[in-house]
Amino acid sequence: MTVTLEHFLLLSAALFAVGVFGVLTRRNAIGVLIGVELILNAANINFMAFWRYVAPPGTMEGQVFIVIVITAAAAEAAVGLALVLALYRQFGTIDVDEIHDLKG
Amino acid sequence: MEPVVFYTLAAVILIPAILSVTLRNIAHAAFWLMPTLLGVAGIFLVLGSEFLFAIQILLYVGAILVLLVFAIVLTRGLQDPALRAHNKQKEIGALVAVGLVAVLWLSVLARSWGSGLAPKAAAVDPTRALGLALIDPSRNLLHFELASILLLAAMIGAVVICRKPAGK
Repeated sequence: MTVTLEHFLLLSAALFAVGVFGVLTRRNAIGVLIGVELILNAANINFMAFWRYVAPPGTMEGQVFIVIVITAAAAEAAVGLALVLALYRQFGTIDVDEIHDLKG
Repeated sequence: MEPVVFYTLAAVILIPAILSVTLRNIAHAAFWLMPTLLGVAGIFLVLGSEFLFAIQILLYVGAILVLLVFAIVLTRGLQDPALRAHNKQKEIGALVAVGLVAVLWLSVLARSWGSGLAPKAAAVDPTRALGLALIDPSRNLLHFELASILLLAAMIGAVVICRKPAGK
């Protein structure tokens, strides 16, 4: 028995679902961001697996996508956590269920 | 690739991932993210990219995780163990996640991917090939430059958002 493309797709789907659960249920805004990171990593596993198993030899676009996704994740983490700090300063909490004022 | 390597990596990815979305203490949850990220780095390595393996560790484990921990240290309010860590949609959320995994797994398994599809031979030097692909104007140079602009905008945006309001 060898490891096939399906194995990676199933792993990635499971990781994605775990991330979605975190995003849906966490009260802490940082917990929501952790869920988003899991989702992005699940996408990266898929990019890597398809690059290795399906893409014609010589194409590097699968890896290029991963580089772009990691870049976007870094930007998202920086801006997201800055928002968390600003929210904490404004409201004294980072519970996403309690923060519903658009105008501080 | 040996199946045992894959299953070990899958366990290293999934079990800490589940812990990091369920644990009550958000600092513990953030630290449980580390094995998951390292496991994904391992997936990159076994699939033939040493460069992305290093980038994943440097950026995710080295930078994003440290940012998360900093944000946890700088905010108080949900760290009290008496507070619930999850909102009232915990059961519905679990249901959605299980349903999602069922749909995704069924749709993956329903299609024949040409099982036994052998992994393609890796490029002779994937890191060099990736670098050349990134700066090739006919392929990905535009995306590469857009990513740079995105990072610059995110950096300035984070500073502006985080700055203490004037007069406070």
